[in-house]
Amino acid sequence: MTRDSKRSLPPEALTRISRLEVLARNIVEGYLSGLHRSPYFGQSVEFAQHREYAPGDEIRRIDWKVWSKTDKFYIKQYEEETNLRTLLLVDLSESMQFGSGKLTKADYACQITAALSYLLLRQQDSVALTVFDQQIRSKVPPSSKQTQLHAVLASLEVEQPSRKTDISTVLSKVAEELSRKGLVVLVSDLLTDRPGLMRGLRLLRKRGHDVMVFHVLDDAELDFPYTGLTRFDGMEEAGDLMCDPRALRDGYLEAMKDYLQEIRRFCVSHMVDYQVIRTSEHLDAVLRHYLSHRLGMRTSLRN
Amino acid sequence: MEALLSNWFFNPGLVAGGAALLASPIIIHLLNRMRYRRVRFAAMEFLLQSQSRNRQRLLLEQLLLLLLRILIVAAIVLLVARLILDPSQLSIFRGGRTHHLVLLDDSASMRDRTGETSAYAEALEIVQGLVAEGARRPDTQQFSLALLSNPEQPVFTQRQVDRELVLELSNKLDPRTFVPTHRAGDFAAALGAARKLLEAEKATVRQLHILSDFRSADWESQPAIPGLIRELTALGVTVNLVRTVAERNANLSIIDFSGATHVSAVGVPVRLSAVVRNDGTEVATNVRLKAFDNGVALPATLSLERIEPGAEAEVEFEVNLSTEGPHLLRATIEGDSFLEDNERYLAIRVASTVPVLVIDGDVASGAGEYLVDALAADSRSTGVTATLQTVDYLRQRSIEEFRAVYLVNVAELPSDALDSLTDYARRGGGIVWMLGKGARPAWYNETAFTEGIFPVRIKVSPGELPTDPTIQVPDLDATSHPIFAVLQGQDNPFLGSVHIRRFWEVDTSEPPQESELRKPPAVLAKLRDGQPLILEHELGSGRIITWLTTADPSWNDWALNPSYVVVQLETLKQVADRRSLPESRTTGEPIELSLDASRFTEEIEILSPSADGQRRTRLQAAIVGVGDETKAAASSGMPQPVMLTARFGETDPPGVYEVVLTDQNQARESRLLTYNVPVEEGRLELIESADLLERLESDPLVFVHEVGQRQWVKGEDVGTEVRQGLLIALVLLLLGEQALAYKMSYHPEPVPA
Repeated sequence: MTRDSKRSLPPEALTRISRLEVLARNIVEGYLSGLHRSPYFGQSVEFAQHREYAPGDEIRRIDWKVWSKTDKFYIKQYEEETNLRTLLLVDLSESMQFGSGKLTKADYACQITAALSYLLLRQQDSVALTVFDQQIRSKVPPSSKQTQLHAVLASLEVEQPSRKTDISTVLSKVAEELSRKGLVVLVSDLLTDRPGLMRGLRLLRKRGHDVMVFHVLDDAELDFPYTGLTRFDGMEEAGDLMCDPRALRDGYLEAMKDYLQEIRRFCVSHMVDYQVIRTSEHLDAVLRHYLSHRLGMRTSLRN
Repeated sequence: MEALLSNWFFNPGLVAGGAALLASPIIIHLLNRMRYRRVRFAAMEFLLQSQSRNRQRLLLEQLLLLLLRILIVAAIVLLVARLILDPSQLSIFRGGRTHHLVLLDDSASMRDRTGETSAYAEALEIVQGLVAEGARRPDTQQFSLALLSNPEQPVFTQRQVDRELVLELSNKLDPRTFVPTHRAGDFAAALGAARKLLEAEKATVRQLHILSDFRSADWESQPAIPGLIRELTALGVTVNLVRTVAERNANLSIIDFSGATHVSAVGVPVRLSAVVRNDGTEVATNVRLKAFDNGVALPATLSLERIEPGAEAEVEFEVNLSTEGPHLLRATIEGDSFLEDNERYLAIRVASTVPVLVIDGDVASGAGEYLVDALAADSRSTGVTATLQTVDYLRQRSIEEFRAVYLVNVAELPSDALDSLTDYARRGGGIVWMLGKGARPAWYNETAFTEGIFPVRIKVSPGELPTDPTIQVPDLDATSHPIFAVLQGQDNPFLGSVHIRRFWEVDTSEPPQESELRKPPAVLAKLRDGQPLILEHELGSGRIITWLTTADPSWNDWALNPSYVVVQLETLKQVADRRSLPESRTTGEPIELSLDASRFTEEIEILSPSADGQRRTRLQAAIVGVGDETKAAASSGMPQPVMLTARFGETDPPGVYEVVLTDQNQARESRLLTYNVPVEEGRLELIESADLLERLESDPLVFVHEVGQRQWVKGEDVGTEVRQGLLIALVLLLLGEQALAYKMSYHPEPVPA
C-alpha cells in the first residue's frame, strides 16, 4: 500500500461514513444553505417575522403585500440556513510519524481529516485545512465545493515531516487569519509545549471559535508495552534514554495520565471539545462516538 | 588454596569454578546492556520524567535483583561443592599429602563379641575401609599400622595407599588369622612410639587413628594417656579416637584361682578357691563353675547363686591330687561375650610329701614329739613328713630340702647354725620358733633379735598368767589370721578352752637401737591380759612365726587341745617355702631367665600353650659377665659369677608355660609358670565420649567417632543439615528473585476473547 492510498479514505470507510450525520454544535455563519440554523436573518426561504422599515433597509426586502393592506412599510425577515465553516488543523510534525501498529499517528490524523472533510462537504459545509508542524506547511482555503475534498487530500501530502511542533505560533496565526467564527478541529498528538498549546486554544476560544481537539495517540504511547533493554531515541530532538522499560512503565503511565488529565481539565474549563483517540480504534467508531457526544452537548448560541 | 578449601568443602575443586560463576549475573547484565533494542519514540517527555523520578529506586531494585541472582548462584555453588561448616565432619582424606597412622588396640578386651562380630573385627573393617577410601586418591596418602601390643615395630610403615595395599590388607587383616592378643594394652608406650613416628614428618598432614574399645579401666589405670595425646596434637597431629564397641556387654570374670598349693602333697586334699566378679550391670544368678585337672573335669560342679553387679563372689572346693608332679588346674565359668576371662589357670607341682624339720633343743623334754605328732601323725592325711633333730643338725646338714624349720625349746644356736638358718629364711624358707623353759633370753635378745630372725626382745624370765576361775574370758585372744581361720566362729569352742600358764614376756623396756629398727611384728594371738603370745614377721623372702610359750603341755594345755593340730598345720601352710610354687603371671609378660652359668648349660627349652596343643621352643641363653662387667668385677676384687640370660616374649596365650633347664650334669630341671589374662581386661565398662573429650580438655584436633559411623572416613553424609539449609535458602532466594523481577517487569492484561 502506497503512502497515498494509505492516506486516502478506504472505500469501506467511505460507505460507513456516508451514513453518518454531522451535526455542528454551534450555528455558524455560512453562505450555503444546509441543515444548520443560522442566528442571522437574511436571504432564506423560511419566513421568520415582519419588521417595520427603517431607513437603510434594502427596498427590495419590503413586503408590498403588507403595505397594500396597512399602508405601512414592513420588511419581511427569513430564518436563514447557514453552512458550517470548519477549519481542520492537522499536525504532521515528526512526532506524528510514530506508530507501533500499521498506522502512524500521522496516517490516522489524515484519515480523520479526510473523513471529516467528506462528511462536511457532503452536507455542503465549508471546509478549510491547515497542515502544520513547526510552522504552517500548507493551507487549503475554505470551500464547500465537492472538489474541495481532493484539494484537502492533496494538501495532506506534505514533504517528509521531520520538524518539531510549534503549536502556539500556528494557533495564534490561525486565530488571526480566521475572520469568521467557525469550528476549528485540531488533530494532533499534542506533544508540544503545554503553555503554548493552551495559549493557542484559549485564543481561539476567545475569538468565538468552537474548538474540537482530536488527541491522537498510539497504543504504545498509552500502554507502554515495551520489555527488555531498549534505547529510546526521542523524536523532535527529545533526547534518548537507555533503560529497562518495565521498570519505568509505572512512572511513564503516571506522567502520561497526569498530562492527559491536565489537557482534559483545561479543555473542559474552556469549552473545548477534547477526545483522546487511539490509533488502534476504528475510525468510524471514533467518529460515531464523537458525534454522539457532540449532539448530547448541543447548545445553540442563540439561547 | 585447594588444601584450605578442602577443609570446608567436600568438592573443593568445584569451588573455584563456582566462584567464577558468581560473576555470571553481572556479566549477563553487562552483555544485556550491549544487546538492546532501538525504538524511536515520541513521548520521551514522560519517559524521561519517569526515569528522573525513579532513578534511585530503580538503582536499588536492580542492585537488589543482581545481589539476589548472585546469591542464587552462590547457593547453587555451595550446594554442588558441598559446604561443610564443621571441618571435623569432613573426610580425613581431604587435603594434600597425608600420613595416616593407625594405632590398633589389640588388647584382650578387643575380643569382646557383640552379635556376629567382635570389637577387633570391627576395627579391622574400619582399617580396610580407611585404606580403601584413601586408595581413591592415589599418590597422596601414606599408611602405617601399629599394634598396641608392639608399637615399636609397625605392621606397615609409611606405605603408599593404593589398590595394591588394599588387596594386601584384605588378605592380611583377616579376622580369623589376624587376632588380638590376650594381654593388656600399654597406651602410653604406644603413643610414645606414635609420636616418634610422626614428629619427624612436618611437611605432611598427620593423622593418628586410635582404634580401640575405649574401656574405662584402661584410661583410669593409665592417667598419662590424655597428656600424651595432647602432646601429639600440640605437634599438629589430628587424633581420631575411633570406637569399635557400641555398648558395654555383661561379663563374668574369674579374677582369682588359688589355694595353699605350696604344701600340696599326693593324696592330700588341696583347698582351692575361685573368685568370680560380675562386671555387668545386672545381677548374675546360678553361675556354674567347673574345674579341670590336666584337662580332666573334676567331679564337683560348683555354683554361685547370686553375684551383684560389680561384686565378687568366692567359691571354695577341695581337690585331691593323686599323682606326684605338675598338675594343670583350670577353672571355667559359662560363656559370655568375653570368653577369655571365663577361665583361669593354676599350676601345682604336687610333691610326694611336704618335708619339715623339727629341731628340739631338749629332746628329753619331748616337746618336739608333740609337734611331730601334730604335723605328721599320719603322713597320708597331712602330707607332711617331719624330721626331728637336734641343734647340731643345723650345723652339719643342709636344710634347703625342708619347706619349714621348727625350733622347739632351743636355748641358743651356734653362730654357724644361726647363719645357715638366717640364710635359709632370707631365701624364702619358713621358720617357726616355739620357745620353752630352756631358752636363753640373752642370746635371743642380743643375737637372734639383732640378726632379725627373732621378732622381739624377751624378758629375762618367763611371765605367769594367773589362773582366775571367776573370770570367763579365754586365755587366748586369737586374731582373724589364716592360721586360726578354720577355728573361727561362735560354735567353735576349742580356742576358748586353751589355757596358758607361763610364757615369755616381750621386753619393751629397752628402746631398739637404730640398727634394729624394722617393721614391728604382727601379733597373731594375745593373752587375755593383752600381752602378745604368737607373733609373725618376715626376713628376706621368708616368713617367721614365733610362739612365746611351749609346744608341749608344760606351760599350757594347748597340745592337749584338738585345735593344736589344726593350728600347727595352718601355721605350716603360712610359713612354708613358696619357692617351688609355680609363678603366676599375666599374659604378655616375658619370661626372663638369669641363670648361674656354673650350674646350667645354655640349652633352654620352653613349652608353651598354643591353639593346637603345646609348642616347644628352644632357646640359647646368652652369657653375660664376660666382658666389661667382668673387668669391673675383677678390679673391685670381688669374684662375679658368670650368668646366662635368656628372654622369651611369646607369652600371649594363657595357660601354663614350662621352662626346662639343663644343668651341667645334663639333668633337666623344670619350672612352671602360669599365665592368665589380666583381670582388668574383663572390666568392659566403656568410657563415655563426653568423658573422653573432657579428659582431653576438648582439644580441637581430637575427634571421637562412634562405632558404626563411617562418615569421618568417607565423608559422604556430612553436611546434610547444611545442604538442607542451603536448599531452603535457595528456594527463598528464587522466590524473592521472582517476586522482585515480577514487580519490576510489565505484564499486560490478557486480551478478552
